[in-house]
Amino acid sequence: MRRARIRELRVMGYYVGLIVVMLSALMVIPAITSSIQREWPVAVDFFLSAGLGATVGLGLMFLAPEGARDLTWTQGMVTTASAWLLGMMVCAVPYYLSGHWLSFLDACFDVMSGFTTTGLALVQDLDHIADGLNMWRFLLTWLGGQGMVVLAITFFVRGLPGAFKMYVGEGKDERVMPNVIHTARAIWFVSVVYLILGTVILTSTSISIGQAPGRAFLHGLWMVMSGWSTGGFAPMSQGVVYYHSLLFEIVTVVFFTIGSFNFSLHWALWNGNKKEVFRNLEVLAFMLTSTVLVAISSWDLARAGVYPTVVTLFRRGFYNLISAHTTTGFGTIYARQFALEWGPLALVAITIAMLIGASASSTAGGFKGVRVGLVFKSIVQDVKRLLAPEQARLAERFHMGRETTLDDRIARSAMSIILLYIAMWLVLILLHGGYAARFGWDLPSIIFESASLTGNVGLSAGITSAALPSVLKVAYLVAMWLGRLEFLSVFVLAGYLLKGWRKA
Amino acid sequence: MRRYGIALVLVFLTVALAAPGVLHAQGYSLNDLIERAAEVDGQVVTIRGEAVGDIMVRGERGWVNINDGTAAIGIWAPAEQLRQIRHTGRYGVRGDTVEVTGTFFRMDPMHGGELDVQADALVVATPGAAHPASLKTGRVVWALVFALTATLAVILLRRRRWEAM
Repeated sequence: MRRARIRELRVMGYYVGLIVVMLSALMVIPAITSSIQREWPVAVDFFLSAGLGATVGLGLMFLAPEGARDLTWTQGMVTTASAWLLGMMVCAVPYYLSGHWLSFLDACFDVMSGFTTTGLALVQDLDHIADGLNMWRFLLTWLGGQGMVVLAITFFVRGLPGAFKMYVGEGKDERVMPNVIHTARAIWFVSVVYLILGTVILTSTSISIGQAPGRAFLHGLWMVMSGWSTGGFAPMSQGVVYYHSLLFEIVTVVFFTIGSFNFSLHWALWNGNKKEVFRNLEVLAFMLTSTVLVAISSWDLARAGVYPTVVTLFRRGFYNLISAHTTTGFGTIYARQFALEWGPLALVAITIAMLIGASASSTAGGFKGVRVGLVFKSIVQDVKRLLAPEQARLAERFHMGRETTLDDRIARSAMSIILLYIAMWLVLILLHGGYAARFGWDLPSIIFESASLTGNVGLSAGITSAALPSVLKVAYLVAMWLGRLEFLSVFVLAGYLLKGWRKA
Repeated sequence: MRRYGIALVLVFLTVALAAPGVLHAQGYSLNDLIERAAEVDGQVVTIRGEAVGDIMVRGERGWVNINDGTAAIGIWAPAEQLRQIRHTGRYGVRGDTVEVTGTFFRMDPMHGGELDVQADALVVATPGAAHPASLKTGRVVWALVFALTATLAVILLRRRRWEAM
């Protein structure tokens, strides 16, 4: 029994090691960036970290037994959750060595924030950070959006039977193609096409607003990486405000909205199926919730005179609301302005937007529009059943790539996940409450920040900072991890560890 | 002498009441401006900060972002004044510290509701300079050591695969 368990751990270690090696290999990109920019100490840090990560990952692979390396569902989930944790620690090494993060925990926090496309940051003196480090921040966000496991499956895993189980563990269960490896490649294909297109457009925009071509290219590339992944990181401390440009804001809002849609929708459009946009439950749910929430927040902001004109409402109200709803976290106002200037109704609207989030199987967080749509439809179905004659058999249907009958199992699953997200939000509010008096946080700010974490959004009311107590930093980190992997993998990992501990 | 003193105080108070913005807004940090935006809105302020990132000239005026360590905000200034700035803060460079006098807006109608300062005067108070970071020999050695261990691990892994085939 014990030997079987050790073999099991070694098999899972193989996949975890593979992903760690892959992440370490990717450090070559920021190392090259730093070398080109003559940031020699940073380049050395990246080579050091890559060597360390590769040694750890290859060591885990070396320990794996020879022969079949199939994974059960439990093992697939445990592998994914573990890979995210070990990957986070390896990726945090160059951050920590740079001196821009006050502790290794802070460095891990920012890596997890990138991986989960949250966008909250504890980095110090961002305006003087090396281009290589910025490249790493945005690369991690971009990878996190598509998924590390998706990347590993695309380029490193060929025909391994455990691939799909790891893929599902990463919070993606859509198969846009019959084969999971082809699905993973389709996701990367779509992402790379948008990255190239977005970089060209945003670089041109940046040049037109006064940036030098070299800087414009880097900022264009990074902001597309961050926007498409609904990440929220920006290369300068002011975020999108830094650019002072309506055009820049329009381009970014388009890209992060597109990025927040389901990959299967992108694939359908790619294959000429334009009708899917108008039939897809998730798109319809997003349109409905965004329209209602934008209307509520705009009305409140205009009524209170916070943003009295159409242009100011668009740039400061609409932009931030859509950024929250797509869980991007780009802000066109300063963090404290939410708490100081936005009225209660507008704050409630943006908080709801952050909690709902965007599409499942996308780069976005939150409990996802499709689940809201499914719960809404199941309530409609229940009401119809109550009103119909007893012998009548009613079946509600929904469209997500294909027509599907809404059964109780699907509705219950959607409701369970929503409840888990809400429970996490409440736990975060309570945790913040414990420190509120010490730090002078008010309740609206706490509710806002907790919703931002729960939905992997990244907008802040000014609470997130390096001054946070370590307990809260760890809680934030776990919340981001749970939210991005949609609980299941992390719960399975916790259960697996608990089971192992009981047996020991 | 006493009358002279009283007259001086009265003149001071008159000026203070006539131009409350200038006097009240002196000495604000950039974070203070964000925190007390409603109170300072529309007043003439004098602020200091390091010019960071890019100078984005747009016609006769342009943007520079300044950071005083508490926050960073945008300054909309005449292009000719922006040209005085030689260094902007970035990796390995400490930007020029500039002193800006201008009107603070909580919601600048000219710039789509942005919180910013429209500068009347901008001067370089302290010039910046390049501060290149130096290589640490210990880290170079560790990088080589890990490169070696990783290469060794690859060789061992491949060898085991060949043996298994």
